[in-house]
Amino acid sequence: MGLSGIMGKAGLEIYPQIGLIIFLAVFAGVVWNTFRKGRKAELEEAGRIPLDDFTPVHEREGDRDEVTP
Amino acid sequence: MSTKVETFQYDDDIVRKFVGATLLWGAVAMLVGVIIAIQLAWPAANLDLPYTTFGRLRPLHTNAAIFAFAGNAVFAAVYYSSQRLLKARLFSDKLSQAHFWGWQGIIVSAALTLPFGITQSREYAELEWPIDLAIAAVWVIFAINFFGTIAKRRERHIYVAIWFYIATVITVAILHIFNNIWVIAGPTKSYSVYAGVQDAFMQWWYGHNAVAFFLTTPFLGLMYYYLPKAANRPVFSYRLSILHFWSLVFIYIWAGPHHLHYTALPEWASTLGMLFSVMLWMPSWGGMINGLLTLRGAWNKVARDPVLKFFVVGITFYGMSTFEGPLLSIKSVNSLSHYTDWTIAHVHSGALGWNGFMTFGLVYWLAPRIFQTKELYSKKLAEAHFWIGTIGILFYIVAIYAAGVTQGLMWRAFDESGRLAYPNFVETVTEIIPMYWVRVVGGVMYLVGMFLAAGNVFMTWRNRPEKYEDPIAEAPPLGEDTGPDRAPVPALAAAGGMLPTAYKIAYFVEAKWHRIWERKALKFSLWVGAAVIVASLFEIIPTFLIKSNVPTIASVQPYQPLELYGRDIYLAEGCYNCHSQMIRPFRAETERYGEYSKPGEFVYDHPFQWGSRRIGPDLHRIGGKYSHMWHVRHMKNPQDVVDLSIMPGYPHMFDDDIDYPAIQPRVDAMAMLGVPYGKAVTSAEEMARAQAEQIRQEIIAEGGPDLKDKDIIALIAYLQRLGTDIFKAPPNKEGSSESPTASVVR
Repeated sequence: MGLSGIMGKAGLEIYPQIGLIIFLAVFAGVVWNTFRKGRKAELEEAGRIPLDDFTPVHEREGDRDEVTP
Repeated sequence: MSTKVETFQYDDDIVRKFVGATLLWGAVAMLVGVIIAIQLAWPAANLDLPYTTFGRLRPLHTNAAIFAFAGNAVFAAVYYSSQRLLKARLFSDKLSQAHFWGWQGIIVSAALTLPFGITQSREYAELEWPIDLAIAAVWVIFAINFFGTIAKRRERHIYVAIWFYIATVITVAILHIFNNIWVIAGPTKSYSVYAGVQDAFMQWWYGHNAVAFFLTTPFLGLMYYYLPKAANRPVFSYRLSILHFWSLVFIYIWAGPHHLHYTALPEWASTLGMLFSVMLWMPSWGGMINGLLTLRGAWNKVARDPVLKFFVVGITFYGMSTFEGPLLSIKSVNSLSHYTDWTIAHVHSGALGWNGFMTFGLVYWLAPRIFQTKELYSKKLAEAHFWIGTIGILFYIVAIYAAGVTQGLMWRAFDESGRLAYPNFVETVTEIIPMYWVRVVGGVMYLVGMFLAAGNVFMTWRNRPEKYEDPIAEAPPLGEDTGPDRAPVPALAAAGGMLPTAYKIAYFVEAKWHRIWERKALKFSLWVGAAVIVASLFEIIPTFLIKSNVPTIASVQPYQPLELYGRDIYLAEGCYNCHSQMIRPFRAETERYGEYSKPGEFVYDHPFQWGSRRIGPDLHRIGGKYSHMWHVRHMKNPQDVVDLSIMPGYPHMFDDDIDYPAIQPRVDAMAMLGVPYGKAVTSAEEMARAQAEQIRQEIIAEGGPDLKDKDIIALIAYLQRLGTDIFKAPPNKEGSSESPTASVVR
């Protein structure tokens, strides 16, 4: 019996399904973490990074009030 | 707070180079596109030369459009925006230059091999092994340069555009490496280690994800930088963009099998592919809406600014093609659309609308900045480009959608007596020739727009200052990450009376780990890589290792040495660009082509040749259907046999001699891949000569010319063998079958 014969008998069919569930769980975690209340201000600040090409966002003037307390 | 401040300048020289290359190769790619579009409407444009047939030029067009035009645009975009988002000059100027020149060298070598029939014959991965190695090397250079820049960044948070770039760098490397595992059979010849169903699975895992991670994620990344820049406002919802990113990374990778519905691929795999494709609707539209809503309150700017116009139409096309993609992955829709021009229309609404227009918007925005001219040479010219390009796309896709649906419906139409309404394939082709002409018109318009862009940027470049003056930026370096999230455990436990374990749980639940690794480029990259690899493995392993997925058929035997050589001619000519070898289990197909294809029939096909578009009929059951003489006349001049055929002639096959000494190494390479080649391992050349002689005599007996040792003999040997094995009796154990190659123990 070759490798594929052994693997065929090993009952691996379940693993893709387990993988799928793990994936969905991790994904749900990421979604929840992104939309948590506590992160709003921090992420909004991050969204402004592209607007100034030369100054890191936390060094900018005027953005202070938005920084996470 | 650190008081030490560093000064730095960005490297825009490399951006200028990549922008120039984008425009140059864009013009080439689109010009070749127009040429092959003309060839379909007017076959004489194939010129009867081996180097200019549709089958050889089409891969040149697709490779140039994807890797040269879009590729250079991505590199320009990534190098310009990454420096600014990370507040750091590129890691190494030398690596940047090596990346640029290496990539251009790869493009040139592609252009110098594909028209000469040097190809792996696997869609979008045609380039042969030496070029594949060069691609891997240059990609590593790019990766080092890119991650090196992230490592020395001065912005703590890694902006979402960079995440998209990271996903691109990692995933393209994985795709490229795993899809290009071959056994070398000569300096310009290799065979995929995968065969048949598995090769198809790998190839479309690659093909699909190349679209995802070469044409989608980097362009989304650049959208998230350049759109806010051009509109001068932050993206509508940064949090939505994070969701957009993760859902694409998690979901996209699973969707590849939707390219193989109703084929010999196992049912579960294609259903999984369909499900995940449909799930992609949400993030894709989330991304589109996020892009368009960024312009809320700024739509008056869109009216005045060609850059924003290109972006708005580009993002709209992103929405359209990502709506259509999942739609096409639904099996019942796919049964109609597959193998028709519908696919081609879908691809071009994505390529011309999304990739093309995002690139043009990007180039117009960059030109005055990198050439330091303050203004683009001519806004009016850019406006003209926008309109001619948009109308060109509409001409192209509307005509080709119509052609696809028309031909698809004609293929499956039955008359009242239950027979095929259009049994003659060529009828379904001539019906759509007028649409092919409309496509030529649309393509020419788009090409004209491309030239306008090149001219406009060239004139902007001519107005550049004598010496570029790059502004000097100042920022403190990043120290250790000591964000507010990391209160030491004991202190916190003491203060709140919290147990360390409880603290750890709280730490986890509040997902501070996520915030940390969002900032840690390396960890973040590892997670992206892990997500992609794990998903891919779960998708791929079962097909490779679970035997029941590909039932073996005892009568299916390896190709004879001459047939193998003939198959290589089939590969080199790029026949797969117009002919499938996969009959789906529908009555309309079995009536037209014969018995439907079984997975076990392809176990010796390195690489698979199922194809994705039927510009001509399916060839899986072509073996034995016509006489040798029919093939001789057909290959010399197809119109002699099939009036109104749009296939080019292949007169060179009647001049070129079979390279007999080259056959043995190819058989050896196949044997190395586990093809049971029996005595052919030692006497391939002899066997090939004998079979060639036999076919030569048969052709003469049919009243044909003496074609001693010509390539056409080998091709006929292959075509006459195709799809015939399942009708034969299985060989007995001693190996005394009709097939002399079968005398080997399994």
